Amino acid sequence: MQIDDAIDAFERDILNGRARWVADLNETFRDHLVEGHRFRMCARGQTRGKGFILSRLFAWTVLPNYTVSLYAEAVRNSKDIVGGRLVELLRFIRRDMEKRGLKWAWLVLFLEGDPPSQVARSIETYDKNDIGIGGVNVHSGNVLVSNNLLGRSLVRQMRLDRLVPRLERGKGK
Amino acid sequence: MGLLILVGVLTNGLPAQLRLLTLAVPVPLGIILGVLLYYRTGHETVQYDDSGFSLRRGRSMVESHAWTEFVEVSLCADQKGGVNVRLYREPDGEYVEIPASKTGVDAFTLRNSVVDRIRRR
Repeated sequence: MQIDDAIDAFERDILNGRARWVADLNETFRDHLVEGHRFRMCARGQTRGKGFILSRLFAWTVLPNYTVSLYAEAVRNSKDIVGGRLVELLRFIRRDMEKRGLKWAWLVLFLEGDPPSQVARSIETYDKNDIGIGGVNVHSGNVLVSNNLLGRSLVRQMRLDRLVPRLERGKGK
Repeated sequence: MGLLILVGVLTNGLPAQLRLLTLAVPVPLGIILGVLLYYRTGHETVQYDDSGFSLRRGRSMVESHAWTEFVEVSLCADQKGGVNVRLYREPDGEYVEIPASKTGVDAFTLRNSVVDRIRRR
């Protein structure tokens, strides 16, 4: 499985409403410049989805209208990603969040191989509630997520753990 | 639709067979008028080449743009379940949308093609 194929499929899923139980991510950019760094894919939206009459009324009365974004980064050599690089990416995201008034954000790393144990531990122990972090090994399909609600939503609602197996099954046909 | 309701009200006391006959005029007339109205005001077409693209809605509205006017491209899901290609004149600024379904091309393929054209300038 190639990283670009996985990111393409993830982008398609997002535009088809994969994240609908968490946010209405309705716009995506590729190779998007964010605070001086180009993320491979960015998605934007809000937590209040748009529906028709009753759905819209429900959303307007119950759901908060936070602006949210998702950032996807391709990591071609997993051994090269170190803790400092992760911190740097989070810094770009936080600056963008401040600039655009975002409430929540997700960072998804598409990796060729498992990350070094130090980085994996950094992701799994990240527990601040502002950014959800996920890492996907595009060869094995292994996923690790941060220890917060946004991180867990990458698996529970966005089904990030099923992305690679689904693509592998599709290729096998 | 309005015509049908009116016919329904006016023929309320008539036998069923006769009421069915009264639909013989408004139903085809409604279909024909609806199609004509759609092509006159709502039908969208997109034409594009290496220099730019034009959007036409109905008979009158034509909007033409050159690829060089734009700096950024995104894909945007609309309310009807379709995906449009959005072209920005400046980041987070004014934009123009191309309804991908009107081009007959997959939205992702169209977006990649548009990105290539914009980068070529």
